[in-house]
Amino acid sequence: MNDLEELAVLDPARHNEPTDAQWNRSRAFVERTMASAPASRPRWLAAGAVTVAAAALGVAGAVVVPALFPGATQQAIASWTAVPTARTGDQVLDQAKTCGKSDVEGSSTQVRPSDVILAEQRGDATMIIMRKTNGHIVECLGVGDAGFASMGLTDGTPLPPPPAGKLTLETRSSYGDGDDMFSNIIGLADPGVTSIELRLNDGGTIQASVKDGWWGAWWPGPEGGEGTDEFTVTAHTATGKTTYLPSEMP
Amino acid sequence: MDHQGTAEERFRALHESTFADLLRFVERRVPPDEAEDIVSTVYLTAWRRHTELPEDARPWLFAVARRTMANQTRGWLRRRALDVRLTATEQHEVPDGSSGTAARLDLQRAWRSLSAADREVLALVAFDGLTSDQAATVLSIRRSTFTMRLARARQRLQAALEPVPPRTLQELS
Repeated sequence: MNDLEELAVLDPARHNEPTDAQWNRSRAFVERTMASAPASRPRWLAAGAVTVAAAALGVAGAVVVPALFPGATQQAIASWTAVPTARTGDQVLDQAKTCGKSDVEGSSTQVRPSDVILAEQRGDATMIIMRKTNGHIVECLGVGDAGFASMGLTDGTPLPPPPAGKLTLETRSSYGDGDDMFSNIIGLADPGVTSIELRLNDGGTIQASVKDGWWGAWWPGPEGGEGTDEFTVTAHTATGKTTYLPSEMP
Repeated sequence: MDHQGTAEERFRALHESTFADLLRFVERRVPPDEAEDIVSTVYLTAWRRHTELPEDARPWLFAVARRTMANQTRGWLRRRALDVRLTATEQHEVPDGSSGTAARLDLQRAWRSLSAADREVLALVAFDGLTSDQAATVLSIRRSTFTMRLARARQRLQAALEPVPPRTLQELS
């Protein structure tokens, strides 16, 4: 018997077997999880001139979206800032109307400022998460009030909320080609989360936006669509912080 | 069977084949009343990432569990390791005079003298039954790095098990 085999006598769980009740609870949790959470994640899809260079991760059944207008991507990337400016529904109403008109997840018949859940400005680009008339939630990204890209996030079915102080990841992807490639990440945030930052492995730091249960960010570069963990996500609360690798985020 | 059904069946099979090991992995590291919540979080993560799951999913699940526990354990960032518990009864075990019990108590003393980082590396192999490749996945480090850490931890364990010379009074000059 070697030293590692001898150590096994100290294992506090070596005689533990799950009880029938534990099996039942866990099986029921798995069934609830599969029933309530989509088996796939949304992603950007190009329907125009812009090429999808790196697909979103772990997705199927993606939503068709209009492509970002040629030239808008360059303008968005050229003016990008690591720290966003929060926008209200009133301030981005024109962009929200453009977003609402697109047929991604169904067109809105009317768009009100209160439909906007989260809006941020980075340079010339505006990112919006908003609820459409049919209750579906979409993300839109664009420059000015034209040239929006859009992606469906939910079909209106409530998603399982994250635990206190925690985040979920709904989608991450990269989009575009070469110098025009950008990354996108969206998820749910518990109300206790006060701020979120992304740290790229190359040292860059990006402040995400968080509001009304959602968080998101976009940035120039391919990291969002790569299978490896090219960045971390840190959620801050009043009492501490939680750091995630993207691949391990629920 | 459609794609969704296939995914669900695969996930149920994954749960059936890994739940007991995953629960034990967590029970070794957090109080029992917290273990099931951790395990649920791991399966929630796994379902939402099920298209990314590797063929050998158990180390991947353990890695998610480790990070989930680490995020919930105050002080982990200071130690940079997730410590392994000993059972409460072992803390108060009284020698019965048998050589087996004495050896076990020596082992416990040696175990407690190690750093949390050494205990974590040893536990992944000795308790969790992982190979070096799998343990390296759990710790998100290279296999060669894990092998080096394991060898050093074993050396320190052996050193801690060596008999200590009895303390004697030193003659004052």
